[in-house]
Amino acid sequence: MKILYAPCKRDYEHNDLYGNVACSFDCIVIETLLDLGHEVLYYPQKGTFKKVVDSIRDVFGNSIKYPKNPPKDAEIVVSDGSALIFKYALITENPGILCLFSFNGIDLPQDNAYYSLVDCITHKVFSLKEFKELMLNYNNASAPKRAKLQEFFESEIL
Amino acid sequence: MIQKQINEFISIAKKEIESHLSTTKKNILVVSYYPTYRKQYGNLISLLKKDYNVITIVERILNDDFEKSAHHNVLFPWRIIENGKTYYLNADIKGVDLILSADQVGYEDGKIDLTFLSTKAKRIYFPHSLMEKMGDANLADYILVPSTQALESFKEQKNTRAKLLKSGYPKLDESISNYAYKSANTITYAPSLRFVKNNNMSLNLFTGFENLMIESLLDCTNYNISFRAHPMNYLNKHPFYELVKVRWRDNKRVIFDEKLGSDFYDYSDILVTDISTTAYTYSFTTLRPSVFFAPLKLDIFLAKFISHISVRGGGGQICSLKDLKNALSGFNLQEDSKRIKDFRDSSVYNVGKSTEVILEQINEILKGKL
Repeated sequence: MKILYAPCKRDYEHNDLYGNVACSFDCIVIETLLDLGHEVLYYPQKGTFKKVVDSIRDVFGNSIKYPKNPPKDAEIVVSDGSALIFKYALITENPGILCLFSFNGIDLPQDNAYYSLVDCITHKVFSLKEFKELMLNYNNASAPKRAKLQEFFESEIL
Repeated sequence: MIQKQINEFISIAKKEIESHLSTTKKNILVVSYYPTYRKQYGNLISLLKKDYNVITIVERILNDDFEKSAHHNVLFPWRIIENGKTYYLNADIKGVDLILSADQVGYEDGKIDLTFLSTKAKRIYFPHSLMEKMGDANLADYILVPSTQALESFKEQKNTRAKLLKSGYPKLDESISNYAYKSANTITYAPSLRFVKNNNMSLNLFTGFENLMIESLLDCTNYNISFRAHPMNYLNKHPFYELVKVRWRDNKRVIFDEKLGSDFYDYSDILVTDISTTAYTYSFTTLRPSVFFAPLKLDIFLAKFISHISVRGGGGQICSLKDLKNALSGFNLQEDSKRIKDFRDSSVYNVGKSTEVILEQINEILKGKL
């Protein structure tokens, strides 16, 4: 699949120790997607430390793509929290993937329209193992969320 | 009210230090601003005690070896934080000849370092990094430089107050002399110091990275993983670190090492880090390789020497999980040990005898000859 990896802003200029953490996180996610045979489009959020972007180019070279703008043909968005997931999930009806590797789970507030939508348009993964398993079974795992999304599209805004 | 109590405390503590001063021997204060660096002196304090009156000054009582190492130990914090306000404590104690410190604080434009406890005593700084410049060379009279690389790094700062002395690294010598390998099938993962903002996205990035590293190390090796955060992170229970602990607390292969000092050298088959300087002390002591998971193009001085202590040399920075797995599955200990030893002995001054050399340097300083 054509995956857009769109991490949150990595603005750790003048701090190699922190910039390296951000770069490492991104490299591990990209490497995992490549290992599973996906095409990766890397689109860092504006304001990301140039050295992080350059380092990722050094590591992955031509094995991934570096679109200047959010590409129209991406099928799924993977991120650690970028709201770009909304844009793609609502158009493609493919839920995005939130990499929440620091947490063991997340309880979104019930009866809240915004968080209901967030829940509907995202898969949350809390480990690399969960991430790989989800990517291997993405279509089946997404079916209930797609159905909910359909239900959402058939509802009224006001 | 608080200031009044602090002034009373200063007066009592000052009198206590003065009561311990010798009139026949030179007086040396060994100041610890943070507990993390109490191990920097090796056996130097016991050597100094033979000819000098030595008093350790601590900012908190831990009842550790450091507090028992000198003739006397006195509690004199350099700051107290009360109700969100920071109060700096100080006193000018007459009769102190020399002040040693392995860390600096440099608050109020360095006032705490340059006048702390004495306006007259000479000050010697023991940098707590083997391979690069630490601290401010304007906040000491002498810096005991551990290695040729550190000297090069210190010399980048021009026109500084401190004299640079080729001394060596007592902490390394002590580690070498105490090192006793015991196989425990364990990798120590020791990330560098982090100060992480307590918002969801920052925690997700920093804790997330640590979790990815632990998960990957568990997955690609059969080793137990000992997670050793920077002491500043575990002593202060930083939330990003506590989150990592929660994730792995039930995993029998994951251990959280929160012991100050270098006991972990004995049971670690290899050390994995992002870019912690601990790797150099570890590899120079154990002659075992370290692995640096660091895909970022590094500008830091330390990065120049990574390949010397890495698995199979020349490997340098590891940028992928695939390379991490390769590095951990196929190192040749004999070859790595020889390369690391050659590099150590050509880099670090006075390996195995730094405290004797430093003792002689202190003798010369106190005689006014250096």
